Amino acid sequence: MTQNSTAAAHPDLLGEPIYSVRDVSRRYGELAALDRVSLTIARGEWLSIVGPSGSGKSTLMNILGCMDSPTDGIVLLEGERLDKMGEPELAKVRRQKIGLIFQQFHLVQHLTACENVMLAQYYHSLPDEKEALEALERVGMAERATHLPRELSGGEQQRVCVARALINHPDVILADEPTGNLDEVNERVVIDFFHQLHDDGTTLIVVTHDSEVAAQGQRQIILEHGRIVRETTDLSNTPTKGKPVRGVEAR
Amino acid sequence: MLSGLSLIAFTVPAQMSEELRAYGANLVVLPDGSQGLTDEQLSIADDAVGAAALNRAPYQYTNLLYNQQALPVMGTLLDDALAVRSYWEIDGALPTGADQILVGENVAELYRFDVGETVGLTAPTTAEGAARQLTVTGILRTGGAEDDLVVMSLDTLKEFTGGVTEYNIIEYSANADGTTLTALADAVNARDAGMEAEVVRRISQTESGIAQTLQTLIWIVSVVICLLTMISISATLNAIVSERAREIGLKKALGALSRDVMGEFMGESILLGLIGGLAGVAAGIWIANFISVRAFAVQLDVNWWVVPITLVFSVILSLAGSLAPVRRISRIRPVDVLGGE
Repeated sequence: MTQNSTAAAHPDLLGEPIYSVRDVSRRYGELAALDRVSLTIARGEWLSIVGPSGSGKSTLMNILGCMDSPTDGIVLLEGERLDKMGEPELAKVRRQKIGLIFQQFHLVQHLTACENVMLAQYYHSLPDEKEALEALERVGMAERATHLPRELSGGEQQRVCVARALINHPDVILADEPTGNLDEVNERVVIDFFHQLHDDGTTLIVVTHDSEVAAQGQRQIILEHGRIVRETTDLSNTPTKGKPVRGVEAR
Repeated sequence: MLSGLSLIAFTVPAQMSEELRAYGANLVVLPDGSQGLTDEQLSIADDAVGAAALNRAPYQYTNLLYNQQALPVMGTLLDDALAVRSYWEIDGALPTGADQILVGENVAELYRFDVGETVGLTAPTTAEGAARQLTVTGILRTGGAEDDLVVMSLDTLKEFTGGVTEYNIIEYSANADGTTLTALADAVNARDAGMEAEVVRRISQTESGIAQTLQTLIWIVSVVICLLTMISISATLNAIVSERAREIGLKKALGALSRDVMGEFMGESILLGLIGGLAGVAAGIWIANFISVRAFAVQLDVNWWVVPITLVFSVILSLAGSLAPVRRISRIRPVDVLGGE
């Protein structure tokens, strides 16, 4: 079932919310990258954020990922006000609750695949090589653990990036164009992996241009000029495990 | 480079001090009145100066007659005089016998004396025709007052003075700086033995002046090198921070605090400072020795304390140079370097 809407969601109609975004704006001088966006994301939900270039989807992701702060509005993550936090508090939230996946992978070039995964552990708690190898095994990269990023294909690098995002068992995975640099085969591998994570109850927020990737989510929000102009929900993507998410028609 | 300069700054002045001894005495003892100094006074002066005296020579001046013309003569202990006045150049040889003399360059030119010639000298009181024949063994060239003198041993001079030895001056070449020399002169004067000691300011001031100039120059060069090194470290680290901005942004995105990443860079700086310091010490010792041998003809006496001091200094320089670039790390935001709109 698919429902269309013209604006943000009603938080009270969703399941247990993990994110609550209320009238959030992000301005760069006169330019509003985000313009009074309101949105609720439920725990265990797979949300796709789509829209043309410059629509504000990466800005929204940066705010949700604690890498940027709004100029106006309220952002709550598990009840905590992100918009009021300073850089040290935001860094703490990033390392404890969020896993990030980038289009450009952003692996440290002089570290091996395993060391890149352990880097996330280092800032979270303590590096554990065994655990890092298990994470790599989970994404099918155990045999390439000692390889440097330049020795890996794009798909392999993205899988290392996924392993790095998962290693600290985050509450939310934020992926910015995760398949943007991948061929079809590797895109399928990553999508399948996202399905596994979703089935495990992980909240997934995926920014993408790709309509096929966006369609994998339970809900899509379409941004234009910094505003949510449409929202679609597909409950057929409800995970077999984890909390089901109910779609909503917003105002 | 700094370790090399430090070694030169501290070692070369000491070596130069010894070199400057070649330019003559730096302490002289003169009679208090019109009478000359006796052997007893010479012993008292020697005792007062003590072990600081590297060389010492007493001199007696008088006039003898050559063909009824007065000729100034200096009697001395020739070997000792040559040790004190090592700038003497002798065409020929030092007199070894009682009937041998040196003649100053100007005297030789005036009277057309040459090595091997015999010169007849008489004391002013001696009757005409009783001249003592002395052989010229060398022509003395000094560029100083000695060029106008006939120089002979004290024993030879005694034959003209009736066995009387009265020194007009005693010269000491002492291994001491200006302050110590003044103290030595005071020690001689304190004996109250009818003699007066004076520091030869020209030599002592030249010595301390050269040492001070050299050390000041080296300090200035060192400060300039430190500044250039810091600028160089700062520029290099700035470039590294810019080059690794994405890595820094990524670490922050993974939850690192600015101070965590800054600490990592400072740690790298300390490590690089230590490695650079070790390489610098080795190169510095080699360069200092090279300069020392080439410029001062002295084999460098390496002070090993330079090694830890240079290492500590290298680390301090590295840290100081990395302060500004490392502060830039706190301004790098993940959102600015990891893409996005």
